[in-house]
Amino acid sequence: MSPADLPVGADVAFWVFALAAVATGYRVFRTDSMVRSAFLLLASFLNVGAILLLLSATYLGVALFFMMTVEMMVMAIFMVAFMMNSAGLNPMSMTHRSGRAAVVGWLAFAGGAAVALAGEFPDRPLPPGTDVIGTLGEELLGDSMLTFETAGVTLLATMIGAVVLSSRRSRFGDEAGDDASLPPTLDPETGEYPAGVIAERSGGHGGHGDHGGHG
Amino acid sequence: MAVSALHRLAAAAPVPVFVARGAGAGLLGGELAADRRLRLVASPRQATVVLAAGHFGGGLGPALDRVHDQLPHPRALVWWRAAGGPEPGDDRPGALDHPAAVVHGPGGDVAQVLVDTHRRLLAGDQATAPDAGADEPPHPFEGRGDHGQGGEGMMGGVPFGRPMAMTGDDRDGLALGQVSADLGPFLVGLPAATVARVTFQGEVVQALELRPQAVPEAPVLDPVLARFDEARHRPVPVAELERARARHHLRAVAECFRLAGLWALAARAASLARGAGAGVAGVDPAAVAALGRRLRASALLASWSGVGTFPGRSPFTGGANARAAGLAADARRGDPAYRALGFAMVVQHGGDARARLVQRLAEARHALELASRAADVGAVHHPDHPLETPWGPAPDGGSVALEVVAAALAGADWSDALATLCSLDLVPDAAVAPAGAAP
Amino acid sequence: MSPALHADVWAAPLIVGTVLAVGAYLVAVLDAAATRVVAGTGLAPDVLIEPLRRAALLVVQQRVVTERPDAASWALAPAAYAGLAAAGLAVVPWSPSFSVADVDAGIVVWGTVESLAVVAVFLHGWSPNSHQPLMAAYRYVAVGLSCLLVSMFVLIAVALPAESLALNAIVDAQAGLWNVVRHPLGLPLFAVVALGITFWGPMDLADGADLSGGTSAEASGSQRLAWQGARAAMLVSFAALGSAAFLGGWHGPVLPGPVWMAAKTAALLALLVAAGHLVARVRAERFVTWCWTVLLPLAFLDLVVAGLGALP
Repeated sequence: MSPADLPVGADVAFWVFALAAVATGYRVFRTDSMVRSAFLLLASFLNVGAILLLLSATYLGVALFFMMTVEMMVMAIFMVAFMMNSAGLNPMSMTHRSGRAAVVGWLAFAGGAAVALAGEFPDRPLPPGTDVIGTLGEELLGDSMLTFETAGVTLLATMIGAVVLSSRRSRFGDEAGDDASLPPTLDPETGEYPAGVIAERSGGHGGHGDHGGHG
Repeated sequence: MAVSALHRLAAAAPVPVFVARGAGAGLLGGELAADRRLRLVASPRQATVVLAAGHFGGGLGPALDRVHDQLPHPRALVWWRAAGGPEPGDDRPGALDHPAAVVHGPGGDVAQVLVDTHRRLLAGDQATAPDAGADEPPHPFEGRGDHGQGGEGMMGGVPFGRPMAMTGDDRDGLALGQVSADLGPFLVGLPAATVARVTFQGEVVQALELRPQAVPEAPVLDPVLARFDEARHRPVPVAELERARARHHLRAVAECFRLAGLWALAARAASLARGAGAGVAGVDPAAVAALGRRLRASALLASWSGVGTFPGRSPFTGGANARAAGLAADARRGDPAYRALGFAMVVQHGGDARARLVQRLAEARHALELASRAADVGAVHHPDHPLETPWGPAPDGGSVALEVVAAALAGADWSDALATLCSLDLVPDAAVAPAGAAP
Repeated sequence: MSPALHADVWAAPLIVGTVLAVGAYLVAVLDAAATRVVAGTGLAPDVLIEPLRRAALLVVQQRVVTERPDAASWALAPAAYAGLAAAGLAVVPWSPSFSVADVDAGIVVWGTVESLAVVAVFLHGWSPNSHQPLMAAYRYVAVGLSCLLVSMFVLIAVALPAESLALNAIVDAQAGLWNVVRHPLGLPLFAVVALGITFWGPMDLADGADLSGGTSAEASGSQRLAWQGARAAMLVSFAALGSAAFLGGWHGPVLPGPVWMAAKTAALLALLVAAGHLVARVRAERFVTWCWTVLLPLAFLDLVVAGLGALP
């Protein structure tokens, strides 16, 4: 199948997805909430993924979908949780230092556009019956399976470690309730904490059941 | 034609009812879950009929108006009020001005009235209820700037009349955004007629204040409350007292089931409560035991174990909550009528939501057994003897300051806090007493 | 992609839509029947019409709009969720020669469906600009993301013995031995994921009564109908995938393949729906702890078992 045989629908779909990707990408900075921003960015990525599907890169397109979805979801939650404006619905401006950002943005655009215009792209449609996913896997992992597996397991262990550390009960490896979120004492003989540690921490724990219960 | 066919179909649907309990209503209304023509819903947005049970004054009036206006059209209000009680005063909510139907006294067939109201509403024979309050935001939107952020820079100003939520330290030592909200007073699980002012971080309760909405001298609608009130002043057959107790505990268990998403089991508990309230034939204690087996199989007990324990000793000195924490305190032991029946106390240990749920179900079963024995010998409780209400020894032995409960709930997940409150079934009198805590 | 996709491009939405609509109705009937049986209020033939009555009521009810919601994403969330259910169902094969969209990375499509479903539910809770839906949305994301991790391992374990990401090949590989026997941890873990992503029954952390109906606390009328329908449709899609991935799909004696698929899907649906009335809702915090400390290692074990079995 040569490019000329491709249905006109594919061309139309390409332009629709491409324009939608740019439009939603632009809206990321023109909207008024962190949550909307994150999901507009996701929409932009999804449109790029759809273009990959049009290029018959099914696996890459679908993988892009779900990687970006989880990433943007986590990003939205973290932004909202760790910043002010919890609900994310009080309107706020999404831009910071717009002058400098505009310069960097245009430079990046110029770079990308230069590659697009000057680069040479392959023009060889896949022969029917090619095992795309198998070939891709061979290309990506063929000689470096061990490296990838090691990196993967390390990353997973890091993730689980981060979750464990962020939990109140398990930060210092004990199921002893709130006590476990206090660091171990430096002096095992006296059991005393270094100056300042307790005072500092109890400031952040004012809302605890244990503390409030005495009142 | 098509539209009217659709309306006929809709009229035959199980009626989604939102129950708003006012003062003097106890846990009344929960038994309606046993009727398959009705569905008790968790949000007013899902209902066609709001059932206003009891007396509405003070802070409850505006709350009822708000809930009423949250129902989608077509909507109606059914008022279930105490027979012969005093008329509500000047603070009577607008929603009660034109109820679609009024039921007087606890004996009325409320389920049938609700079904009829729903049918008339969808047939067009009953006009949909207009808003009781003004349809305007509590604060005008004052957004300024490019995005309505109401001030300079990324944020600022108070576009909704409330400052932007800022971060604060949480229980895990992280700085997370905080949101404050008033929930209640008609939320499943909250003590009767009480608003919870909560500061949340995510789902975690950072700070909690329980604010009873005082309605002094509200007439009593709930027959359980009425029965135990009566027993303080004149002799009452033990069988009736115990049936009322069983009915109350089964209703409380039904509320816990609703909260845990076990709607069908809630209907089963409600049906048992209705049977206990019906009197004569009563209800077979074995059916309560069967419900207990369902409860154990549902994993709710496992889920609620360790939830809602109080630091140190349980603050409860009497009532089912104290007995759930292992305290051997029951005023019935001091009543000769009960001693003659061979009364033996039921006690759990642990003092968590699980123990309280098990305790309530065990007490319901026990009370039904007592009731049948008491009916055989005609035992009577005399007002001179100590009286154990479902909440503790009369007059207010089972009560605990709401502040103590609220303080113990800070740092818990909201659903755990609600499970705790639901399992505690706090004394309705304490919740509505004009303790000076009301705004 | 096989040529079948292009041939069926007009029929595809019709087939998927019909299966989802019939399936959602079946879910509602099963739900009504399970409620009656557990509540002891008596099973009667009118459970067949009760879902239609309830749907009709939602059609004639007003769709209330809250104060300054994100109207677009509020309306879009049920549509997106239903669309994802349709996309997921489309890649599930019904017989050796027929699946609506024969995608060679079907299992990866399901990874996408699950993760985008979490986004749709979050948006449904976030957009009404109301406290309880928002809290439910946050809570759901914590649970949903934990489920996603388990789901990845379980789905990879399904793909391993078939040495393919295509669902067709996965069902083919079960001709001798169904996956539910080959690695028995898979289906129970998948059921937890299915209940979690569709926030059904014991995993109803998005729309639970403890938050006045959670993300749908503000939803009324057509909004609520669309949301309930989308959620039931997603459950149908999950059951169909479960049948294909674990219960041997179209394999079975005497009857034609699609009939076996439909029967297995319906059985799985009945199981998932009944669980909703027999098992209490889990606590979010405890579930997430469980998910990371018990379910995730179990999913690992499932993968190891599948991997060892797939060794030549």
